Amino acid sequence: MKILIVEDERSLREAIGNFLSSEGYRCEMAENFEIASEKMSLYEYDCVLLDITLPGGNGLKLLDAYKKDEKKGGVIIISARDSLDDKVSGLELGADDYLTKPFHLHELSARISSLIRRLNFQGNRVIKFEDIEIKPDSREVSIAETSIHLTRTEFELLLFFVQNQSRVISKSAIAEHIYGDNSDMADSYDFIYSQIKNLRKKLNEHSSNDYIHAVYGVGYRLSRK
Amino acid sequence: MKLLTKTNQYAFLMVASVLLVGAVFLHFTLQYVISKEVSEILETELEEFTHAVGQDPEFVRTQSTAELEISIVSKIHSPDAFRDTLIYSAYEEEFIPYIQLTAYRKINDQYFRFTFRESLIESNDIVAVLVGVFIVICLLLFIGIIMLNKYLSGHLWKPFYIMLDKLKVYEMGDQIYAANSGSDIEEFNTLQGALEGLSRKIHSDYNNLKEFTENASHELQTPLAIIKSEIDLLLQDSHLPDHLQRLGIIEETVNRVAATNKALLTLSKIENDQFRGKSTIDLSALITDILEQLSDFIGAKELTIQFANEPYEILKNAPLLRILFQNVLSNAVKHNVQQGVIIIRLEPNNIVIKNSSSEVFIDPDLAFQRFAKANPASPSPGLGLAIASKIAEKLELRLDYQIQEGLHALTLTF
Repeated sequence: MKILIVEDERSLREAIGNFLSSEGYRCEMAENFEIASEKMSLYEYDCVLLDITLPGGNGLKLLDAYKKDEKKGGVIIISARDSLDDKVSGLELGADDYLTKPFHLHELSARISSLIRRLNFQGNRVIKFEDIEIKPDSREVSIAETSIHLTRTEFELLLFFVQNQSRVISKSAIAEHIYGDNSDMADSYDFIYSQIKNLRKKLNEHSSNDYIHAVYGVGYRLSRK
Repeated sequence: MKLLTKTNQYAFLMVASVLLVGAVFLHFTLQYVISKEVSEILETELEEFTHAVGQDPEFVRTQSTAELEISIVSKIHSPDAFRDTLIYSAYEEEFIPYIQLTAYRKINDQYFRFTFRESLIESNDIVAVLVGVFIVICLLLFIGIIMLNKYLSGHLWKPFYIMLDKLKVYEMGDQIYAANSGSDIEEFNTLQGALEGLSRKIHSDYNNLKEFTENASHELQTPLAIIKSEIDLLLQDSHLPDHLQRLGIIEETVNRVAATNKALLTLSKIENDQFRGKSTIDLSALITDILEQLSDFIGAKELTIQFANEPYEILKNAPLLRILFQNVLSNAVKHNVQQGVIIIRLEPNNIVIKNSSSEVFIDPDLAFQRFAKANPASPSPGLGLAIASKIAEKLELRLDYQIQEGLHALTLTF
């Protein structure tokens, strides 16, 4: 899977590249409008991460040209501008998702994997992790071929974990993913804690393995045996 | 005190003092002049009579009235002397003031005493009339000044009052103040120029400040994104529990900065009028949606929600309305107590959201200020209600906050 990272800020560009590379993506970088424009017209990518404010021009123009070229890859806008106009015009121009800075790399990674799944498998894909099978579109989960029922939050948690498997995910990244704007609620971490406890209990009832581990003081990690 | 009243007060003081001093001065001057005049008449009479007696000594016997006494005396008793005296007049039935000249003369070896008197009653009448006229003139002058002031404040000062009225309704961030007072008076034109300059300065400073806040918040987003990303990366590589825990603390802190920054950004965007346009929104659906998002928190606190979910359409800016209710409802959940209650009532002219709360009631004036919070230890930046009140202002709603039956109640009035 090939990803183009269009971001003018070097540290951020490299951090994203670093994180995604270790997930097995092949990452290319573009630090300004010209380079991005060239790469986007010449090569095919599964996903383009596009910053809007770029030296040399507006990222939305790149998006417009990219979509007019009828490229297949998805586009996720990553912008410091949390402005509604940008969001609306970005999505109208054909962006698949819009992520406002600052974001967690886990969140970005989960969005990319959802996007690629949507684009490549028309939603019919089954995500497998050890003996767990997840059908993201029908929201079905089975463990060792036994279907189990998860609440909405529990399902989102499991999917997020699987999309970021083997990684340490901080509580705040989880809270932001699950609760979005409400993640700053004073006790959101307590809810995350109890939701994860429930999820773990349900998983452990049917699986011989305990996949979700607490990382003391920080968050959680989904790991194989 | 009004300018007109104040001017009239000074005019009154001025006229009153001129009246007082002038009347006294007039009175005494007239008195002096008249008595001098009368004395001269008496002296002339004395001369004439002295002459007449010299011509005809028998003249003395024929001339003796209330105003003139001539008698023969043995010697000169005193030099010529004027004296004020009162003589009772049977006719007037009162004492009448006279000036009296007593003089001794030696005519043809005989000594005569002449006493001439001249009544002052007519002169006093004249003085009284003159003083009266003077008072009337002063009063007329006072009335004239009042009328002139009234006219001046109506016409001459009109541009001033126009400017004043414009200033009264002038608000920061408004368009530049411009009152075309149409005056040809230099001072007013200078004042107007100064006000326009001042308001232009305020206007541009205010806009710069607003833009600065927005730009600064925007500029902070990318560094925050870098910090967050680096923390996420470090989390993967660190294996020492101590380091992980510290990373956790750093992350918490960055998140607080990010949350504050985001709230400030939202506030400045509202202030910069970046939410325009109106659409018809089903408020019930909106509230239901937000409650759904908050359902985990509501469930965990076992809150009772009283909300009659009936269609309720209003024409407002949709994003602003969503932020408003998002803030208000999440506040109602956040500050609620275990097994508490949230009551949402949609009425034709107002919307009331009541909730039980663990927080002490804060003064509404304070509650809507930025960074106001009841509990200083709370990690929330305390911008929620400031945002809510700013939005209410933009949506032309009135936002009230009070205690009703032991519940914290927010009322939105259309």
